[in-house]
Amino acid sequence: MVPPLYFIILGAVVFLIAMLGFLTRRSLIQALMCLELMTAAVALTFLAIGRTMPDGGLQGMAIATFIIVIGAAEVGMGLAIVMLYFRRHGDASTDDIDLLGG
Amino acid sequence: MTGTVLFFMISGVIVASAVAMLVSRDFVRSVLFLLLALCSFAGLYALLDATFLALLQVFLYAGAVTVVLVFVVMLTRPQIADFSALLQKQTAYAALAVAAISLPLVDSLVRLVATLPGGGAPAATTQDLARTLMGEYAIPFELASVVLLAALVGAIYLAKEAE
Repeated sequence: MVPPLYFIILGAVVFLIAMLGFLTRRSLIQALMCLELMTAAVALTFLAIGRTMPDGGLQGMAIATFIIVIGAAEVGMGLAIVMLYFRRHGDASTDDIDLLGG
Repeated sequence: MTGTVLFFMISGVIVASAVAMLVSRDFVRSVLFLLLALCSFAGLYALLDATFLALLQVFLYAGAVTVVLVFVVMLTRPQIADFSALLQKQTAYAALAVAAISLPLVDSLVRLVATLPGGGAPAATTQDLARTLMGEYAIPFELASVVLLAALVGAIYLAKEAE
């Protein structure tokens, strides 16, 4: 059996790569893609930790199921917002979103 | 032993495709690298004996989410951001923030793993997962369906053409 530490470190590495992308990319779509990757990394961490538990990973699987549901809802809403924004401004770059910037 | 070899192969694919997704100049290619990474995640879930989750990952993320992403990329025709056009200052700040978070994150995870009980229990089956979702997690399960319905209605409302 692969040590859980491997999975957890990989989850952290992918999460950090995606976070770097989320902070630096200029497109709303790429920001959403990075969020999807972060979600998958967190689900992997839950599964890896859950697998070490005496219940054979049942709790981890249940939580990961909910994470996937939330991820699906999030990407649906996020892309709808991207479409709406694109229709109003003709562009989907995070640079132009400064309405709250003062 | 085979599991460890598989783990390193799959994790190599994941890290490489995640980096390629970020540096890719072409949006469709970027989405395809995301697809590769998410499918590889499904392989890791299967390695952790979560077969149902692996299938769910392939169907939902690799299937549905990637297709919707490609649709939006095609519809909005986003400008391909040139790397040199990125603000170097912002990239440096972002790298600094990620580095600052990575140290305590990895440290706490390593310390957490030391406290975990050794895994020797037989893996939970999909049947067990179904019983848990319908029993112990029945209320969150129903709430999740409400969340999905709300997201569906909200997405249709937001994306529909203005009258």
